[in-house]
Amino acid sequence: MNQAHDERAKRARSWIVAAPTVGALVVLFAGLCARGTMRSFAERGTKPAQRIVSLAPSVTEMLFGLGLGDRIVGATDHCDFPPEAKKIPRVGGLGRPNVERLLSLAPDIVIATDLERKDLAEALRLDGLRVLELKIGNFAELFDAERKIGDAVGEPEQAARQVREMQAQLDRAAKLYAGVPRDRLPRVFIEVWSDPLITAGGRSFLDDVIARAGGVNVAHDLERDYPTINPEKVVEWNPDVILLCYMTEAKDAAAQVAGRIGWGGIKAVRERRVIADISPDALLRPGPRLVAGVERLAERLHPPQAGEAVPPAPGNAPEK
Amino acid sequence: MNVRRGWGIFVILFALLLGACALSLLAGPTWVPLSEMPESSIVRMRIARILLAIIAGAGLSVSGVIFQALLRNPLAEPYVLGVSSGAGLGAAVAIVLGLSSAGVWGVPLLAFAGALGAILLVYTLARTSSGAVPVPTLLLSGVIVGAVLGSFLMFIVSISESEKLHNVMWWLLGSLQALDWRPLEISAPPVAAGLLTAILLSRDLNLMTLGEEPAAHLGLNVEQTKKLFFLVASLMTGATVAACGLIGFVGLIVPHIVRLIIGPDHRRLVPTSALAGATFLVLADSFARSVLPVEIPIGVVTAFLGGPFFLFILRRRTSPYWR
Repeated sequence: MNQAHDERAKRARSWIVAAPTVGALVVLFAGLCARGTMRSFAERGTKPAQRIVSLAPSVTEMLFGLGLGDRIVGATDHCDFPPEAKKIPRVGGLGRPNVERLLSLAPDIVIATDLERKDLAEALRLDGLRVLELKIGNFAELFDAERKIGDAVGEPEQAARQVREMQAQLDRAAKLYAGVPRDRLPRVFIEVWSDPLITAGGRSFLDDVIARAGGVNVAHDLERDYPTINPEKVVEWNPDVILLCYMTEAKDAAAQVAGRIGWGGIKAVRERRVIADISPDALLRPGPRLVAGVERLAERLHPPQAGEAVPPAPGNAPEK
Repeated sequence: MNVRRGWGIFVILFALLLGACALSLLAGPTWVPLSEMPESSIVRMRIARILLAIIAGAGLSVSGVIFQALLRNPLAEPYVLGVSSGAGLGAAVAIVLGLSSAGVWGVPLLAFAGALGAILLVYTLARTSSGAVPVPTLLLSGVIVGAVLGSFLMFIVSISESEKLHNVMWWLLGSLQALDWRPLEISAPPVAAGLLTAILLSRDLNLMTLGEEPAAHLGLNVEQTKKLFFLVASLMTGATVAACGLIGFVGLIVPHIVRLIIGPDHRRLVPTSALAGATFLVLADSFARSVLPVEIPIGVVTAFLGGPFFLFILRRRTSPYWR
């Protein structure tokens, strides 16, 4: 009986191995066949895109900036600016769209910045879509992204003009600290989150934002984008300015920072230079509004000295 | 067992705790020269962290001791039994509902309710009709309830538009970061109360380890004792979770090591576990914040040490030190 049982078990085991193997081979074969036919779709012409899906709030803002808001057929849950963007059908979160909903919108181009799954772009291309993946980690890359979007949607001149405008606003900000020697620039600690304490390191866009606003990021040497750090590092850095950059509105955040154990001696806290009132969207979203954020920050980092005339900054959009 | 013989161990453990605290004062990403120590604000921050580690370590260890006694099971501890997950779920619900800004006690209260609900659910599920609580059923119920509550937690996180929970992964692994005194304020009173109760009623814990029937024959009101201790242990776990997130395995490793050294008498086991747990967590936190320029979650360190130890305990579960 034992032997019969063993025999049965062995047969069952061989099926357990064989069935999935065969199944996997069938799927693989079918997949390879399908791939061939899909490729041909992918090689369609590159005429200016008419139906655009934007997978990042910054891309949505850039498209509206180019006057192409009406060509966006799908956007993310976070695309809330300009207000008209809220009416666009949603395809999911930042960089993680619901693929079926995306395809049902029949776009001819998908523009994304941070895709959660790197194979998604390839999969969408197999489905015959154009996918424009952008990396926006500093201002140079932002300008580059603007131009690439302009090319993809057939508005290169418009995009070039946008880039010139952004560059001009950055130059205006740079004038505010033009005469300050590098070692006299304020040293800034950026607080992205408090629990755990997260800052923006040398690989983040915020690092470039601080530099363009005439500051020095104290965490610049941390070769990461958003490292979790020990609060005692902040005491050691002893920054001149603390910039609170929470993704959500934080009530009384500046007072809370001042009340922390051991933070009372930090220069920024002593001199009450804790900046908490610049909208996070203006500093965190790598879109056209970022230059306005830089200019506002530059004004705060380099307040006009007493007796100096203050020219009103043109084109500085008021905070919402 | 001769209780008087136990004084030596208290002295040793207390000295160890002081040593760990001294070491922890020196540990961190920045170096503070001894001469600057008295007025250094960095040292003040480290003191707050050390105090939080002491509270959390004592609270988790003593709740582990209590659960092991009540359930007569060497593998019982808040994390394994799903109590920590329950507390975590409660705290997450409180954060999503916005209770964290409404009042200091919103989050700990819900964490406590979650912890108590989880242990009652696990115990009820594991209990057979005859009233016995078999070991495998109890552990399975604990693991499953923990997983289900964990899935609720992840569900809340995934549907929540609120960025408040974007640090939830970090929080699930525990952190002793104390930016202000709040985590200490919410965790110290419940843990102190629980510790005091456990020390005063340690004889009852001894009786409970004999089994419910023998304990009842010896004049103990079993149901009442059980309810009180479930409440106390959940309170301590809930308070700790609300203050520093989920820190696993402390409640498992510490009581076992202590039991191996001084034996199973709860009159000594409870206070020594509290001291040893505090020492362990102070050391683990010193490690977590000094080896890298960025912080390692404390739960990673304790699980790294606790996981292998758990297996070790499993292998020698029938050994005589457990009665």
